[in-house]
Amino acid sequence: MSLEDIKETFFAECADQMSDLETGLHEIQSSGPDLDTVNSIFRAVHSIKGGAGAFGYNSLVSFAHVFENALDIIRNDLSQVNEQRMDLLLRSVDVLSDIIDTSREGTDAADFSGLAGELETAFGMSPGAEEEEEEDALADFAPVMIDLGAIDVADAPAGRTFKVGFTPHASLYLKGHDPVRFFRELADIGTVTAKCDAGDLPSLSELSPDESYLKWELEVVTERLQEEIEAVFEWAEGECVLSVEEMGGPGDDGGDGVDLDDFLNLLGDEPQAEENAVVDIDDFGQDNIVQELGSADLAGEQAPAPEGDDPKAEKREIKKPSPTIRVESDKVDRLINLMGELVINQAMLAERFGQAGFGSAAPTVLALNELQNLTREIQSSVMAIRAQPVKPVFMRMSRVVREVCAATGKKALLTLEGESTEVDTTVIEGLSDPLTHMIRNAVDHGIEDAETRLAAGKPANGTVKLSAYHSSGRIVIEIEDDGAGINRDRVLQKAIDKGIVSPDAKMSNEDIDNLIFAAGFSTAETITDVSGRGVGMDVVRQSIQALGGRVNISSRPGEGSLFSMSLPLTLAVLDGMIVKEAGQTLVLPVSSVLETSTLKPGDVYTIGRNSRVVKLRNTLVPIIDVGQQLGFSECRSDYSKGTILVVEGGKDGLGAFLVDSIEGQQQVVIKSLESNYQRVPSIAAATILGNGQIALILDVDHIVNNQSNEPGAGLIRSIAG
Amino acid sequence: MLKKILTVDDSRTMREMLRHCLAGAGFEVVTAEDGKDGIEKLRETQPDVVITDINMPVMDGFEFIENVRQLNEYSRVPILVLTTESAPEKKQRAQSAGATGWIVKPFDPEKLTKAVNRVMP
Repeated sequence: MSLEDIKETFFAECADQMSDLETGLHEIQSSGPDLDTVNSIFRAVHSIKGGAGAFGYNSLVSFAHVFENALDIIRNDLSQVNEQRMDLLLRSVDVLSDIIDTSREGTDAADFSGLAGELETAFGMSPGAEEEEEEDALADFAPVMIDLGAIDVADAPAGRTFKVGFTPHASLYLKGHDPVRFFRELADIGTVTAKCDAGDLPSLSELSPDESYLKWELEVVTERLQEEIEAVFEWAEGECVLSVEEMGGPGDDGGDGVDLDDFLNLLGDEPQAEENAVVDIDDFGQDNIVQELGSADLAGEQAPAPEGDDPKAEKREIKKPSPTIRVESDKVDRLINLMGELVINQAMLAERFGQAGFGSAAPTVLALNELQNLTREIQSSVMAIRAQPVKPVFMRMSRVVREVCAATGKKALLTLEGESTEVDTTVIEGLSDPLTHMIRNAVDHGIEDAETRLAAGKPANGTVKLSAYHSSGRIVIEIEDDGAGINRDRVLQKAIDKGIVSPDAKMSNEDIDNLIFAAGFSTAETITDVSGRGVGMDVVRQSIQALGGRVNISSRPGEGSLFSMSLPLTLAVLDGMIVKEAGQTLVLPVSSVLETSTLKPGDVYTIGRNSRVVKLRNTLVPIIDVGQQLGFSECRSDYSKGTILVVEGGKDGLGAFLVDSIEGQQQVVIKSLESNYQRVPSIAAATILGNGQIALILDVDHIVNNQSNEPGAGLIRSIAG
Repeated sequence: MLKKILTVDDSRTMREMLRHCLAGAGFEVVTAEDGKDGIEKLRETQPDVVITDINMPVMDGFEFIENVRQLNEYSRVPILVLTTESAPEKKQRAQSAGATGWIVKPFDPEKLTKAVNRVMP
């Protein structure tokens, strides 16, 4: 793995940590601070800072540092949380997220010193003191680190002589240290002579393996500074008695010392001492007894217990989530694709068995049924792999609310419900944009300003509730605000001004509410423009429909509005309505079909030269001749026969698809045309039916929108034929 | 046989970074995601040196070190603490939990291998 790959990992991880951060802060906001949550958000910022440091993203490090310090204050005292500070922390999340983006793109980060300063003020962190502490810390650490680099130059020529006294405490050994490693390190900066004092060593029968009996006196001849020698023992600080003094000159002592090389060799000859805990004293001369008690593997009962058994260890064990693995989504996609093939194949097999005339109780058929059950189970398990909770998208919405609040000066809080509801990732990806716009609209148009709210007897802070739940094989997402509700008079007036409805139209409340979805009601046309406010709800509706979903609105004046979206759980399979038209088998998503009926001669009216509408109850719905539209057939001569499917889709809402007959309803596996052939207008995808036949899945939105356009007739015929 | 190092860090980035640096320096690297995972991996892999982060979910670095020091067979394994927290009390706490030494983040491969070699048995 290259550094570039690790960088990718870093940014992927940043995204995870940002979502943890949002989640955590949100939890604190809704249910007050608790230590676990604060710790987890602290860790998130801390990790971002750590990784950013590794890659030298300095702006990211410095902002994360301030952020981390603020969180540290809360971590140490939960009562430090207040509304103003929470608000700052939430804003910091947004800024942090921006700095991550700019770091990734390699562009300059926006100036965040203002917010950093606010954080410092609000949390009572004095920037000066902070720096000082940093400096202290640096002074504390720098020598070791610098030395490590500089130590390379071995065998420094004779210079000053230092006398080093080293008496380890027993605790030194317990921390995995070994005196010889310090001596080795010393040998890197100068010539070392070592003398071991084993005078305190008891007889073998009294020897306790956990005690420290040995002392060393070393002479180091080096040109380095005294501090550098002390730095070698930095990690032994507090675990030994260390003295370092400079002596008169080189070589004035050391006659009875042991040369370090001999000393090391001696140790090399006796490596097993570490394992055996057997100290063979006789092998050593009287004056230079060296023992490797340091890492002797000692009898366990004697291992000292660290102070304070931590009761938290038990408690935390329960919280461990089940292990997860990360898999490239391509692999899962392939699996899902193969799963689709299997489902199709299994359906074909079942059909062949039926044709071969097996009775329904025949053993072969029973075995096939078994296979069918298994296939279905595998299918749902495989789909579950790609299912993700909607939480990350939901969490992003709290930022949206904050931004709109900041832009409009309103106060609103986002509450979440059912954020762990799972849905296929492909659906989640498509959900973000429409949700963003609906949330924006809810705050911008729904929630009133604080004074109006107070006057109406509502709390000053508005609430937008975002919730998700599963309902009959689909996911329902609701956005509910406690604002003013839809101002029907204004909506109606605007619709009349824009020529969407005629001034004398009779409209129910519900009809008026639904006008906000009408094309041209709002001026902005594109949904990709996230920064621009007031994107049309018609665009929102279209993007939900593109996901195979539907959106409804209900509003109570003075009490608020509820937008409810219903979406399929996956985009890999589809509940299809199988229809026949001009000899072709076609599939329509069941979700877009509102009703079906048989055409009766009296219901069809001709408008203009070629347009026909059908009267359904009291509405006129344009008839779309699917065969003609796709170029399968010429214009029908007889509009009094056939079946119509009233579909909802496109900008204009309704259309009555005219087909020869309805074959049935079936779950179909979606096969992309785009990736296997090319994009075909009016066709969303293709599928393979149980009988092995290929069928095209209609793009209902496109057909409704483009009903007057001349389609690429020949093209379609060549694929379908 | 390659010397084996167990790294314990909850950040994927850090784990990959450590692996990258240490494998490049000729060590065999085993990774764990938190202290609890670390204890399990320790038993499985019997490393020569352990490097651990402090701030981790489930079981943090301090607790991990304390636990390792209580295990008979590994009580003397050198443990280096990886920390961005340069506050002296953090180091002290790590030391009193039983850490052998520490490395301050950010680190470069050279600095890291030097530190590892300082404690490598």
